[in-house]
Amino acid sequence: MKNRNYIHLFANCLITKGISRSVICDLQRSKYVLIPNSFADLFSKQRYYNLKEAPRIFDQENLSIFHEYVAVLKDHNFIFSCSKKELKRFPQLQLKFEYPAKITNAIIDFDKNSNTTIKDIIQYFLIPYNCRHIQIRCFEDMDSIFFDTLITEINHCFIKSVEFIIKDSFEQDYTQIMKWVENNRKIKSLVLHSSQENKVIQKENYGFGIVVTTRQKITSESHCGIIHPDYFNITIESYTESLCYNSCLNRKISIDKSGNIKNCPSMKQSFGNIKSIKTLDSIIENPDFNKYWTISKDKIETCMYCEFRYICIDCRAYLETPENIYSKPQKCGYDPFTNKWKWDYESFTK
Amino acid sequence: MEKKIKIYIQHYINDNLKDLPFIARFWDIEVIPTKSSNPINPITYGHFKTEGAYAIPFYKPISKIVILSILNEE
Amino acid sequence: MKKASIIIQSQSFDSSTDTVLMWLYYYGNFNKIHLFFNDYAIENFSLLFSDQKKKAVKINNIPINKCSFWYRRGEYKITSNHRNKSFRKNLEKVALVPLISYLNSFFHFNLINRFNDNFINKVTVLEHCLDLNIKIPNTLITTNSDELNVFLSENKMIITKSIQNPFFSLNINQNYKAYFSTPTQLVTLKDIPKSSCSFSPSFFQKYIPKQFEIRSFYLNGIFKSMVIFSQQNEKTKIDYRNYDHKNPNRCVPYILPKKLEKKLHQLMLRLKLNCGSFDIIYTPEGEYYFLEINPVGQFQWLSRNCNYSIEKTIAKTILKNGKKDKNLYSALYK
Repeated sequence: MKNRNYIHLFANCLITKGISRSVICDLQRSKYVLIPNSFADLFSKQRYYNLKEAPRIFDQENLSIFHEYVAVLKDHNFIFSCSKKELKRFPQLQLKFEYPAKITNAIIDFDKNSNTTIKDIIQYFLIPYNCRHIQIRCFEDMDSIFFDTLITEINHCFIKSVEFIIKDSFEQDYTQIMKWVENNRKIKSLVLHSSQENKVIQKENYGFGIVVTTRQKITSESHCGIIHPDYFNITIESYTESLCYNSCLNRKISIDKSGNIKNCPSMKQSFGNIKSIKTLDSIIENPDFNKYWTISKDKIETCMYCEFRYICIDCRAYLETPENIYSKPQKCGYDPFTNKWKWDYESFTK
Repeated sequence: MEKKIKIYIQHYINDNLKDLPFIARFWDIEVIPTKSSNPINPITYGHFKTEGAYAIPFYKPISKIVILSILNEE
Repeated sequence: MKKASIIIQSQSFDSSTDTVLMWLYYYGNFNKIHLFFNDYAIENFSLLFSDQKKKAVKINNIPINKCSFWYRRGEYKITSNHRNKSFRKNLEKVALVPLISYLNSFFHFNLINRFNDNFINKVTVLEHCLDLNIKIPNTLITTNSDELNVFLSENKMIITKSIQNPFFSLNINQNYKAYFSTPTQLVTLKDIPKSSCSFSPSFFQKYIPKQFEIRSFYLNGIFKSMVIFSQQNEKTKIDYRNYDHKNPNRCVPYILPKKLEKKLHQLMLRLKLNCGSFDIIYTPEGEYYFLEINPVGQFQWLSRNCNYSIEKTIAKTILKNGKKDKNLYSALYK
């Protein structure tokens, strides 16, 4: 038997160090665990540790704390044992964000006056850029024919998933809506806002088909930008993207209810209108448009000190200091220096 | 009905061990009605010409407009 | 350089095909993509060898000898519509089957796998490993329980598997289908009948204790490996394919020793295979044991778990017009 006295972090368990504490992100099982910075520092230069070294470095008290934390790592299945010779067999995870699309996701807002056809949007603004995931939002009542037309086009084309955030019109009873969602399986979620109660109407089926009503009155795009652990993402794609790119706006396009093309509907600057242009090529190349794509968390004030920065989402539209594009998102209530949330959200440990 | 067929097959295997490979006694048998084998409603992907039995979500939220904790209120 | 015309032979339900297509559309520098999906019907066929060196082969008017080719799944179908059943069967035997066989082994100038790779003989593969000094578990194929008993006493712990494809199905009647699967199984003394008996040829190997298992994807000489820590979970200990969905095994990147990669590369050359996945066991003593090659296996989970973007590599390979790979071409045909 080989002498396996090294403990080695699995390549998909990555430590993010914050100003006051650290997080181990388990990218395979989508969870995270909090650890003190002193422990995280043991792995700052390499992802393994020789257990034989510990008694030489730590005094008795610290040694028992050290072993406690090693036990935590073992419990969560974050580490494995190996020998010195085996170390070189376990490379780091490649951290490059590689996604085969120039535009990865799109938000499309509609209201009664929107003079745009989904067919044109798909043909000119989604297909050429390999954009296969969209979110459709309606702040006012829309008739059901509108949604039927939408979903027919979506079903036939290469789109993989669509999320709906629409107003509860109380016209149709929920069983009809549930059936509609069940029959159109690309629908990931349907959120009916401005409703009477917060309720899960239909549970998800393998992550799709969830129907929910909410009392939230989402009357405009200004309601967007919520930063909350419910939106945390712990996957290889989201993590590698966060390291270099903006976790919300990177490769995102939006078409607001008047047909204006923006980074997101909550941002002021429009780069053209779909009525007059038939390609996004020049918009994507426009530095005023794509400058947001590379504003990663490490460049954003306060976020750069936060232990959750690579699993969190971002918002460049609603900022604490609006004139500064590197400002912290306005709707984030967390302070990484005190580890406290300003607003009364429930405990978020998973 | 599926259970009956499975038992019948298992008996057949036990009676014919010498004509079957050794591993036959360990075979996992699953009996499925043929009508349910193809999804009635496959998801199609337009010009890609590919299809899927299940839909595939995006890896992160597209916007952050809905307070998600309502899902936990149940 | 001329843009590639591409043929992808696969199944419409295969998600790695969808991902490769996405990469192809993302790069965009191709002439045309032809999709031969599922049971692909050959309606028109033409083959012309002329002037001592010209070759023109067309399926449904597509010049297949001028296209980059990726075989993932699916098969060609060409049938005779002749009304008489025995006439039809004979026609298929003398004309259509040989033609399909030619197409299934057709060597495109730039290819990744061919249909016939599905039928690489597992026993032949193990034999090549012996010749190339690649460690394999002691292996027995026998029809006799006495021989099996001797093998068990010599090797202490043995397992049994099926010789070739472990999954098959039987139509019970119009309405039901039975699916048989054979995950790897430990064989103990009590499983073997006391008195001598026989059975149809069965496959046994010495049980190799695992520190962990390795799945390695090979394409044109490059290895992308992943380690599967299956020993931490009782369910997956014998065969990691006995999935535990609640607590999935840890799968992370791995680097095989160069010495082993060189031998495995030689094995691929001998088998005339340019793409496939290896299943390897790493023992607590630090030895590598070859289990099998899967010529057209799943690589999506390697791509996803290790961020390898194998689909991107496949797309890039397909888009090359084959100029660089002339060396591999001659090596494969030596």
